[in-house]
Amino acid sequence: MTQETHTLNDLARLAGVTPRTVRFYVSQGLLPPASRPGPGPNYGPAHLGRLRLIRRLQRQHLPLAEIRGRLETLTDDEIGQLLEQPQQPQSSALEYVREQLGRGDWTIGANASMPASGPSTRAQAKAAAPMAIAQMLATGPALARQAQAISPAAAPNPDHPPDRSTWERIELTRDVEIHVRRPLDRHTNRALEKVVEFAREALASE
Amino acid sequence: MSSDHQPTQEPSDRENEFSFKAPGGISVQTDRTLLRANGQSERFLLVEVTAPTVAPDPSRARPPVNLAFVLDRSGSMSAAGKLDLAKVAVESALARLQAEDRFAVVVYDDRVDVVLEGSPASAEARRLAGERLARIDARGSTDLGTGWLTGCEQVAVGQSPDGVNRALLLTDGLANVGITDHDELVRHAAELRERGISTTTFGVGTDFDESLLQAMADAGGGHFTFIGSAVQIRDAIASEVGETLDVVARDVVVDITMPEAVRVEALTPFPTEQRGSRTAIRLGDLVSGQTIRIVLRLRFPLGGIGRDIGALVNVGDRDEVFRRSAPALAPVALVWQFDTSQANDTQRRDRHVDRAVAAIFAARAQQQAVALNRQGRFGEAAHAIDGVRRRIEGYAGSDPELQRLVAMLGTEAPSYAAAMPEMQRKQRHFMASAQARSRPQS
Repeated sequence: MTQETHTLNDLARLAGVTPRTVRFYVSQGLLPPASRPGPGPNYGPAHLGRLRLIRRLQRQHLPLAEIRGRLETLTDDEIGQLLEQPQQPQSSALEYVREQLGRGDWTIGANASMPASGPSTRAQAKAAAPMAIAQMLATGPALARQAQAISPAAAPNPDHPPDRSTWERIELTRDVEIHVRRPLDRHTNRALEKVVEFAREALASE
Repeated sequence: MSSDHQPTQEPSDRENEFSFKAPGGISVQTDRTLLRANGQSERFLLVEVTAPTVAPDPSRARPPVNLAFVLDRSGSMSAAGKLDLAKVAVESALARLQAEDRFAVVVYDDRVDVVLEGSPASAEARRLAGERLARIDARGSTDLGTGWLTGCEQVAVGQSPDGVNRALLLTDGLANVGITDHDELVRHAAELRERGISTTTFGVGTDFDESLLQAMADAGGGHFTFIGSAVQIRDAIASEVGETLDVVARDVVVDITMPEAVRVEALTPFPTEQRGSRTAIRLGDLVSGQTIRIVLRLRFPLGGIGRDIGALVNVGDRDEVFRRSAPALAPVALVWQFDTSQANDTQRRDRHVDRAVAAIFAARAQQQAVALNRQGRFGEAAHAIDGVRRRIEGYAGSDPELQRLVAMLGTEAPSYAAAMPEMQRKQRHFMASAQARSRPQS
């Protein structure tokens, strides 16, 4: 593959950011400056790789200082290798779908047996919970993570499934952070990403 | 499995399940191989992927399937016996499952009932499902989102790492209770697919939202089927279930590498991800011997005469079935060369590629025209068809197949110039969408 070079606009487009964001990252020392000044194709594959990795780390809500620290220790080749690695889903299908349905992990079980009569409703399924947990613990590796999550100390009470939401701390600078209760719906999540990005730029440029 | 097809890497659970009669493969072609040195060039790339053919062997243990049948039981489903026919369809599909398979049955209106939790497909479970389904009648409004997600949950509980895990959603209406945001439903379908559960959708009649059901199936790695008349429900479900039983390669991905200076745009509607010089196209699960065509539009920059630009095309799947069926299957390379305007103007065209490109543009125009017609923009709808007809005519030459397509579009165009019955819109949209996904309907 030849060493492709890009203009500022192309570089930004390929990485899915605005040219302003690229300039901002350069000013913050996250990206090396253009190889030459001026409007020409002055950005190379190293710029693009670093930019993509920054975006990925940002999606994990790492502060810019932390991202800068990580990038400093990486060679261009290492960055390329990191980008090659697929991003694994962070939860299993069962965890994901239950989160969407607003259920605790234990409310409807891995209950392969059939109830004696009639269509089961959610309420009936909840009653079968202790058995479901036992089965989950005995189920294969796909459920191993969940099984670990259910520790004896946190044994759930099926009648009062605890609130599944968790507070997440997003650090904007060393001195400023925001708190977010997850899960968020999609629109709020998108808006939040914008807010975080904007706030970091604003705080860093002060 | 014959000895020359032994895998060279670590064995997997699926290793001995297939004996390959014909190996899987890819073929890669372009409409024209010369590029303009002094101007930008647009070229098309046709990639044809064929899944390996599996020798019929009754003793072969196929990968298990794990299905959830999710049926809409909202009030409208009582019309034309839709719900009754759907129940019959599920029962007859269940008859094809074996004890190693799993299934669940979920019905929903504004409430969701799990008729039968995810269970091994024993004779007893099938009988019980039939009994309980018989007591279900139509009522209420449509919480499609929760119904479908509950089906996915039932699949997830018994998720089989080696099998086909899929929720089959049948509805005749819109999502009007619960999660009604289309983007959100489609995102869940994509997330679940990432986690190994696919979604297939069936739209019955004229009142469902085809853009939603199509998008859920596309993002969910399953299929969308339009069922115009309730009596077709049984065939549609049987065909989908049959397909899950015949899957030989799961989660097939075509990977195309080109220099970043070339702009790559996938015209076929498979989920596509672009990262730098690489384009990954996800084809979902393929059945024995199935061929999928992918068409991409490439926009090349200028370049010095004699210089080459190449593409490297590779295919893979989750279980490495392609690699095991044809261990020598290497990435396929295709090269374009910059040349003079004169050489460009007189170069040969590959008609096979031209036909595939014309078919995909025609299908896209038909879907666009259906949407415009629905919005009452009749003139624009007819114009969309006419535009694509003229463009195809421009390169059809004497090719009989292209000429036929041009004539067909010419005949069809006036029908978009006035309000179409919704049934016809749904029909046209589905024909075109199936065509674009290499699933032509008779």
